[in-house]
Amino acid sequence: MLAWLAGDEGAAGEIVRRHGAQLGRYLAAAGAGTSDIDDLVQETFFKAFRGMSAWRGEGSLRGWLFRIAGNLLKDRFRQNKGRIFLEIDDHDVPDSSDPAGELVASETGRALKAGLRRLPRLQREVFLLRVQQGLEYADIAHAVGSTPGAARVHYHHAVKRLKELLA
Amino acid sequence: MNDCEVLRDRMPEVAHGGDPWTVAEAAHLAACESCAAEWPVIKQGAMLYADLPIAVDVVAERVVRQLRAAGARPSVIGRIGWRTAMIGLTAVAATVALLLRPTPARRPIPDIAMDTAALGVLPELQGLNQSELQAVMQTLPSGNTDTVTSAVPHLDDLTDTELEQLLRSEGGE
Repeated sequence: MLAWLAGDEGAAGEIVRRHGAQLGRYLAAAGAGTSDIDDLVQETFFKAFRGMSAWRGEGSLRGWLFRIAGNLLKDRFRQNKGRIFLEIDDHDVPDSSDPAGELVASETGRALKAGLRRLPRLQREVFLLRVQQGLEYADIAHAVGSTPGAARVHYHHAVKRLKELLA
Repeated sequence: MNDCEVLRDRMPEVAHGGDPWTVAEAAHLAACESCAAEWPVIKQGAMLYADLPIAVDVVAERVVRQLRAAGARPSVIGRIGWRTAMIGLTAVAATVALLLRPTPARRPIPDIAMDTAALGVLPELQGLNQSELQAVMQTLPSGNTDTVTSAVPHLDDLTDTELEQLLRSEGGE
C-alpha cells in the first residue's frame, strides 16, 4: 500500500493479487452470487484505493477491505431485496484420499452453508471473518463497525446456532 | 477462562494450520461433548469456498485500469496537488531555517553572591538570599557602591613621593 502511495501503479495490482482470493471467498460465503464475485472484488479494491485517505492506518488493511466488501454486499442485498446466494457446490470440499471422511466433510459443509443462510447478517459476517478468514476480534470489530467485545458475543451466538442446526 | 473457552478460542487458529492441539487440549476435545460438537463447525468453516475460482490477475488488471481511467493518482503529491505540496514544502523549509538560525549569546544574569565572592568584599553577604541582600542594600546610603570601591586607593590619589615608593617596591629596588 505504501508503494502505491509512493507512486508505484503496479503495487495496486499486487495488492489485489494478494488479497483478492480471500475477499472472493468471504463474499461468496457471505451470500454474494457466484457471478457477482469478481465484480464485487474489483469494486472493493477500487473503492479502497480511491478512499485511501479514509483508512488512516487504523486496523489492518484486511479488516478495512472486508469492511468495504461488507458494505458493498449490503448494498447488493438491498438491490436484490434481501435475497442472498449461498450456493450448494463442492468448492469447500478438499481433495481427500478418505472417501468416507470426504463425504462427512461434504455433508457438514453443505449443512454449514445452509445454516449460515439462517443467521442474522452480523452473526454470519463475524463468524466468517473469525473462522474462514482467521481475523482477530479487533480487526473483525473494525470490519463490521463494532467493538471487539460485541464481535465476540456475535461470534458465540453464531457458533451456538450453527451447532444446533448441524446437530 | 475455563478449559472449554480456551479450546474454543483456539479453534480458528488450529483450523488455519497454526499450532496444533497440545496433549491436554486433545484430551479435552475427546472428552468434552460440547467442544467436540463445535470443532467440525469451525474446521469446515475455515474451508468454506477454499477452491472458489477467482481470476485475481484479471481483476487486478481491471482495478489498475479503472483507477487510471478515474484519474486516481497513486502518489501523495498527485492526490494533494502540486500547489499545495509546494506551499507545504516552503513552510517546512522556513521552519527548519528558523530552528537552525544561530541564536545570540545571552548575557549572564548577574549573581550577587558570586560577585561579592569575586571581589572579596563583605564575604558575609554570601550567606544571604536575594530579599535579605535587597534589605541590606536599602540600608546603605546612595552611591554606596562607590563607597565600597573607593576603599581601594587610586594612583591619582597618591602624591609623587608615594608613587615613587610604590614603583620602587614593585620593581624590587
